[in-house]
Amino acid sequence: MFSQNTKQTGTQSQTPAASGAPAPKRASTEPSIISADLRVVGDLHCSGELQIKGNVEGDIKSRSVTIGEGAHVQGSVMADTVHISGSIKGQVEAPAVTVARSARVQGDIVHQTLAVEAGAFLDGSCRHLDSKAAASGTSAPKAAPAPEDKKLATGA
Amino acid sequence: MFLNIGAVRDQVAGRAGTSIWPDSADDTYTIIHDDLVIVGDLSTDGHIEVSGRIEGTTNSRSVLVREDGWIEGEILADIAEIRGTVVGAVRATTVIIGSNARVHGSIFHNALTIEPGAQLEGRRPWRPHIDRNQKTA
Repeated sequence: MFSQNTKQTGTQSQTPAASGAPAPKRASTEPSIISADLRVVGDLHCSGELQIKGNVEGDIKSRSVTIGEGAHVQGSVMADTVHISGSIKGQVEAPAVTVARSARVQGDIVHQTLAVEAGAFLDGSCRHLDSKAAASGTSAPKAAPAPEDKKLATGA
Repeated sequence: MFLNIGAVRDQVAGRAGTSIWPDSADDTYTIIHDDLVIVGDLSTDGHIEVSGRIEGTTNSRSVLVREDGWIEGEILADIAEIRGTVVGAVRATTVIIGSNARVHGSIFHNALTIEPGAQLEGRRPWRPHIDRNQKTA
């Protein structure tokens, strides 16, 4: 009875080491990675960073999205920052958008700051987030541009 | 008779002919952190590591569901290691259930390791051959 007990506790404490799986939780600052091999049919929601190297058929919402070279996204992307090196068919909406040379974008880009490298393929319109917000009649989601507008209004 | 779980696991891993998990820098290594939720199906010939949440079917060569991981849907794999929560059937040649795992669903396996403490609900039928690319009822 007693010996069995000690044996059991001994084995249990040994189990994590023997399992070889590193138990410590990763810091959530590390990006989630959709590997080049992976195909996702569905939506992704992430409050952190997302790196896509594979295929996604669905909508993506995240704080930061990187669409790597060779990646294919079919669906809309909404994030704070989006970096595109791969191909995307769908709308991109983010305050900061970067489009690399290797990118292929088929769809609209709604942005606040946009950088496009020479050689990138763009097929769609580029609109400012503010003009989109004004067009839809809703107030701008980010309060940042408001003081500037005020200044302009009082100046004129 | 007392079973050394670590030894069993190593033996099981050896039989599967892999050095357990591939290198995380590998091109076929997918990581789903705890801040990511996927509502949809995943398929790959590589490895999936899940600390986040998946609502859908996963089909991969190998899958590791960490303590924080949550999968609501079917798991199809050659090797499945479950240390988190799975609500749905698991179909894998080699299945390893960790001590903190919770599995609500049947586990179809050819070789099954269960560490003490795991919460399992469902049948655990043995199957001589499991082909993850051929979905069976």
